[in-house]
Amino acid sequence: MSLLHRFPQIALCLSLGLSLGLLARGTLADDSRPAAPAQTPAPAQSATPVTSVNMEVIVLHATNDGTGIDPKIGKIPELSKPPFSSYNSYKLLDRPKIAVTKGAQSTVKLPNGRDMAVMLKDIIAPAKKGDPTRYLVSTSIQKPGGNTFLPLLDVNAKAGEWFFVAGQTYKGGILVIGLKVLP
Amino acid sequence: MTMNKGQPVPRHAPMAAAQPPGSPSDLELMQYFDGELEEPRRSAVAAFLSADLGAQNKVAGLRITSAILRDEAESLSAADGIADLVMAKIHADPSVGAPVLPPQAQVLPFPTLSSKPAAPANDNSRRIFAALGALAVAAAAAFALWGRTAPPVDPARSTPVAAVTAPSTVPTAVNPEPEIDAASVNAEADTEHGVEVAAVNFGAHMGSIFYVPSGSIEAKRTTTVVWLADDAGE
Repeated sequence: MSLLHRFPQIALCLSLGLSLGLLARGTLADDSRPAAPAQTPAPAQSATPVTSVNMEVIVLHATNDGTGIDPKIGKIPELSKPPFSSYNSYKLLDRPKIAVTKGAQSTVKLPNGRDMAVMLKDIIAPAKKGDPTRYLVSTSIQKPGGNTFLPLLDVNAKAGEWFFVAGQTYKGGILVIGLKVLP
Repeated sequence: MTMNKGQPVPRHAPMAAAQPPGSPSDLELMQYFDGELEEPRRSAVAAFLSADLGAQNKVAGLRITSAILRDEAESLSAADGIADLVMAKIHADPSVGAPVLPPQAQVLPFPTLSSKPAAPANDNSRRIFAALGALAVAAAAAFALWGRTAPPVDPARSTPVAAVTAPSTVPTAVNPEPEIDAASVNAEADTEHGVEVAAVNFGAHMGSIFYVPSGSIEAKRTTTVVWLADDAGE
């Protein structure tokens, strides 16, 4: 078969190629447009000093009643390691989110009637590029009568990292309280 | 404050000063915990434990210590190279890895379509057609690149790229894997404490600080746990 007889197929092929090219050009041009807002400079309000952060508090009841780890707790692999593994069951009691403001106390009511006070003491900017911002968080636990169970715990925390306060006896077990600064 | 990973750090001496008569000694509590205490003393200690929070805390401390030691022993036994020895043995065995076929199995070529007519030996039209197809694809790619490298200029969007990288004061997301240069790799950086205890006051209670591995051993990240003994209870 000669090339001349193939002319309709060749023309169809070329036109298809041109159409694809134009389509791709248009698609890429469209793709480049939404990307532009993401590259715009940060709004002016984010440059203002941040004085409050959100924190997540998780209140667990640890016992040895053999019921295992409550699926509602989520993935906290530390619960199966010492010292947490001295209790075989963890049940989620509460999971509040609190806003913690610099210099002001936020209070979480614990199931045993005690109050846990949380305060943001400072926000430490990264020392060098690539380092995370760290948050100086102060925690204390007060008994109802005014006595203090835990007078002071100051931690220097990265956002998204849990730290735990455990040991308060409660209903045949103990309370395990986890706190983390939300990113 | 610097503390060893997993090592409890008692802040206050336990209440072992004056014990009421009949109360078990620390040694007896340890024997009771280990199941080595004989009757009738065992029953007496069990009864005392059910009523005394201080003794319960001591037994809880023994349980925690026992769990830590057990975990440490298991991690050591898991890291003694047994897995490497087994894998080396498997690799050394020549019979492993060769394909094993049953005796009746035969390797056959993939069947072809017998109804397809054979192309004449001197027909070059297929090659020409394929070349033109490739040319069309190349033209499509050229158009695509042209569209990419020469975007239409929008005056409303003429922000220079250099102005994009203005850092905000607080990043909205923390980089989970910050870059580590070789110079910064030292013993202190080996274990990463996500949360460091800056100051602690356990008050009248006995307390410990644990750094619990929060992932794999290789990750070397730990979670901080402050553990207090609660004598007063609920």
